Amino acid sequence: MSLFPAVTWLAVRELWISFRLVTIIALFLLAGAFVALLPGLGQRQPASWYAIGLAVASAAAGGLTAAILSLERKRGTAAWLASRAVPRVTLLVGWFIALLAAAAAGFVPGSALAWFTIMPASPTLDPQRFALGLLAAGSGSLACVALGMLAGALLPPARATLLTLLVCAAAAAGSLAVPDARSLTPASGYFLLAEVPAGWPLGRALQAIGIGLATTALLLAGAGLALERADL
Amino acid sequence: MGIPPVKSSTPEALWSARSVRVLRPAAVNCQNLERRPLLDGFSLRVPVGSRLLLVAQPDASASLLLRALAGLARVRGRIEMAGTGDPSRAGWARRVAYVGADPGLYAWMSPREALQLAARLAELSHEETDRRTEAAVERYGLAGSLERPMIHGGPGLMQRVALAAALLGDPEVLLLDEPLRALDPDERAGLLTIPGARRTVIIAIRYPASEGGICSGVALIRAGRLAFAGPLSGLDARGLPLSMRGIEALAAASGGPAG
Repeated sequence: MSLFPAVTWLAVRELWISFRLVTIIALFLLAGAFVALLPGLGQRQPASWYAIGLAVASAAAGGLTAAILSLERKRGTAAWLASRAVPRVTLLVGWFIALLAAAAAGFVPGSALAWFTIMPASPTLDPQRFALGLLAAGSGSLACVALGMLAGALLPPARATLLTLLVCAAAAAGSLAVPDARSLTPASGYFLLAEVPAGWPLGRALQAIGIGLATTALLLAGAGLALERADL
Repeated sequence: MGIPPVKSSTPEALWSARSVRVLRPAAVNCQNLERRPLLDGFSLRVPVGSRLLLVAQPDASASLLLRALAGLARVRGRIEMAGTGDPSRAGWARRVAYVGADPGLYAWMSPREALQLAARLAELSHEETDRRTEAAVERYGLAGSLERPMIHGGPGLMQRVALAAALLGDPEVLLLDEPLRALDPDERAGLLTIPGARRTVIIAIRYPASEGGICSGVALIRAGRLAFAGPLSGLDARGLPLSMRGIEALAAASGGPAG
């Protein structure tokens, strides 16, 4: 029997009992609901608001991830599992999958809500382009969660949370506000999502997805190494 | 005069064979463990079946040592447990159990859920899980609170469940760091009488008092090194009390680490 399903299920239950599952789902759902409820807010396009909402939700989810993993170490629950011969990498991946599932459970309906708001405002919008923009932004969200795992494996809860929030918010703000940083950061997907009505070459979205996924993989590998060397 | 041959290959027959008792293989063998200032070239060999009381100055040294043996803290040096130097799941990880001062269980779980999870992680069959869970429930007095979340039972319940969960996988080596400290000394002594003659138990205690009947040996760590190791009966022989001061006096009278 693999230990992985047991650890993932345990992580999902812990998220559920501690209301963090609902919080993460609500964060991503609210990003879409915000655009759907307030489509004409300010001078910005609804797609821009959705990109901003996703960036905020991702930074918050990253911070929450950092707090969760760091607390698992501090409270000794990670140690209890490790002393039952559960490999630390199994712990890390189990928690990542549980958090990913929670984020996806809010991201998918939130994106559907956003789509139904953005589409009437931009009738010529290509659904494929919107989906690619979403995937690019989603890869940035994944990187935020992975950064939270790295910070949570290294630092105490408060510092891990703050650091993750700051880095994710800075990367998203850079992507949305600084033109030179748009194609270089894992958060460049937010910019592509904001500019989806204006159009961009599909290759740019693929590049953004690649950067986001590669960053996620690197951060997770770093988190694995950090957790392997950490005291539990 | 030859040693009589072993008549059967069952674990009990092997264990009771005189040749095994003569050899006294080591269940725990650590050499030159380093993590200053708590461990500074620490070495210890604990024979199979020993019940060792571990005390330290500062007491964090004993805690760090047990966590290092359990693979929870990183130290430099060589550790062999249950006859192997491989700390992975295929090596000693499944044959060693650890219970810390903080049980580390999820408080929302019921004792039954915690025991079933421990059994699942130990890869026990359903029948074996049921059989061992029943035995643990009876032994640790969990029947009255088996289905309620442990948060309602307080730290004493969680510590009893943690100990029961640790024994569920039938570990060869049991590492106990200030276990059951939420319970009174008499109850603690009763619950810490761990079954299994082949099982090696190391108990780290800050204030030893009620462990006299449980442990056969004692080891003292001072300034990160093994200051003394020997039989606990040495205290009685010299009329010393079972306390930190008594153990220090025994170490001073013995004059060396090799016990």
